[in-house]
Amino acid sequence: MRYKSGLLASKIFIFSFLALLSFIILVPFVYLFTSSLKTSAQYFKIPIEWIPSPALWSNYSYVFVELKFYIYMWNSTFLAVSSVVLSVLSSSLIAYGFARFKFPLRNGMFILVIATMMLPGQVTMLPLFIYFKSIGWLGSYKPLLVPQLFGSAYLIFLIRQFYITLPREIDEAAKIDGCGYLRIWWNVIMPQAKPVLIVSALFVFLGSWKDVFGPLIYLSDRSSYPLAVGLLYFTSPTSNAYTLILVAIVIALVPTLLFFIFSQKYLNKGVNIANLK
Amino acid sequence: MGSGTRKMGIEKREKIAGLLLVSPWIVGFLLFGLFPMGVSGYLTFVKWDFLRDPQWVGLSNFQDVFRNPIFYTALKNTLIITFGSSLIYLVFGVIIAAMLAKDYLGSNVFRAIIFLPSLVIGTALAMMMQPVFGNGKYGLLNQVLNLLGLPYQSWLTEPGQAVWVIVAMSFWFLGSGVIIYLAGIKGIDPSYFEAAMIDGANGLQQFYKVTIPLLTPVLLFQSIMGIIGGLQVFDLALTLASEFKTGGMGNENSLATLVFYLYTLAFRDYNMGSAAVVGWVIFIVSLLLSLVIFRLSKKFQLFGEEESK
Repeated sequence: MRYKSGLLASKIFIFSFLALLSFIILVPFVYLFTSSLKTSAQYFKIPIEWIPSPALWSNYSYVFVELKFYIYMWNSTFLAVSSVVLSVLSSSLIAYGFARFKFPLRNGMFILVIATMMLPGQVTMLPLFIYFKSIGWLGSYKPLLVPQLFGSAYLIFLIRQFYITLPREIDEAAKIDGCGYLRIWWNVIMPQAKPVLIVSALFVFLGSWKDVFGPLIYLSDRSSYPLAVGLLYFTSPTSNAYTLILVAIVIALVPTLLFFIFSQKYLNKGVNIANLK
Repeated sequence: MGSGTRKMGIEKREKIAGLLLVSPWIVGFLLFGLFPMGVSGYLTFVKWDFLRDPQWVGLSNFQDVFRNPIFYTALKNTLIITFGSSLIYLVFGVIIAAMLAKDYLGSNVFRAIIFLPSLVIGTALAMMMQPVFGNGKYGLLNQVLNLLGLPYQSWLTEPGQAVWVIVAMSFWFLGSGVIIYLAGIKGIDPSYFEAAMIDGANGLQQFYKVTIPLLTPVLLFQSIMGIIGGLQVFDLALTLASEFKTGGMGNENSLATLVFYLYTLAFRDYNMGSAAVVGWVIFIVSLLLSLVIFRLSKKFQLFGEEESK
């Protein structure tokens, strides 16, 4: 009986803690959303109007259409989706090599993969910038996309950790049936690896969507900016600039939120960093 | 004999196939890792502004950077952010993950809410936070202080205080760590928890005796990633220093971080040599801190486990 009441108390404590934390996190979001429906005058009113009246839903169409945020939205989507496809496919193929084949220096190379994951990109960034500039790639998406063809260390690591937990019997059987290595990868391994692939896709999508540094240094033409950089240079010809930028932030949040909700049920299964399973 | 040669053939084929499969990574490592690192090493010894040819200047870039007080401000700020945020990620990340692991009422909703800020573009999140940390009566936090009878603070403009705003914002970024820890905890064999429960361990004891020890490799991995991430903080500082458009790094450089400084040197001052020096400082600090963490635990076995065969 006493044990039960202790359990209930700890449940209540945990629930209250999480509820308080959620509240703290949500306040700026609620503030963001309600403010996005205001005029600048309403925005600066004190005390804060938590339910704006009137609610200016037209702010949304104004930012999306008149301020041409649909262009940034398209650019971000294009970059993020291309990155996901390139990076997840190449990393998955490389991870297959590390997980299922024996070849000279394999372990040494895998340690190197992990080591590169721990290197800050800032050391290589300047030479790469100079290099991409000299071959005329500046102002295009190539510097942001082409390197993804060669796999990302974090994904290779994450996906390889998942692959080694998959039973080998199925690919052995497929091999006996005369399947080539690439067919085994595509038809046998990939379908089993759905959780880790979706989690990887989420990480790449978020990374690309939120990247500021890359687009900031490689792109120069405003019409090619993704949302993250478009927000940085947000200007509005009207006096509502203070709230219109909040509208832009809400718009930028929607795709990542949808992707997260879609991937949520795979999160626990897909991440296997220490191979505890 | 015949089957023996065929087996040799298969082994050789596997070797070649494996090497071919990982070859994109090898090429990528040479092109985008090793080669640029070499060039960046060379850059630290030259004066170069993109326009004229690079000029060999020996160690003068190092002298320029190490004599500049802004470098030390940036280094100090970066270390404060790195240690502060890593500690918050580690301690609160694990505790929250352990709370969420129990599948209480609405734990999926809580997880989504905790991850919500990680879905926002960093620059946007910093903009959202500006009203929270705004000056005088315009800041939400100041209004709370006012209710408590405390004086208004200038969070972002007071030198020395702005950097703590970035540390505090770590609480909004707990989500990605929580997801990794949560997956780790869910991956622990339930029989460990059952055994502990039979021995009479309560929730807290299970956390200390089962969750933490078994999660150690994940904790170390995440600590290293957290430190590397902390050393690279840029977008938050850039946005909070709203005068970045004119080249400023906050009031009295109070928002200077190493990467912000590198960006300013390279793309405002066109001083590639000094920027490369800052890049190498980031690299060496990352390396040293990672080594310290490796040393702290010998349990760090991320890649030692071979498939049982």
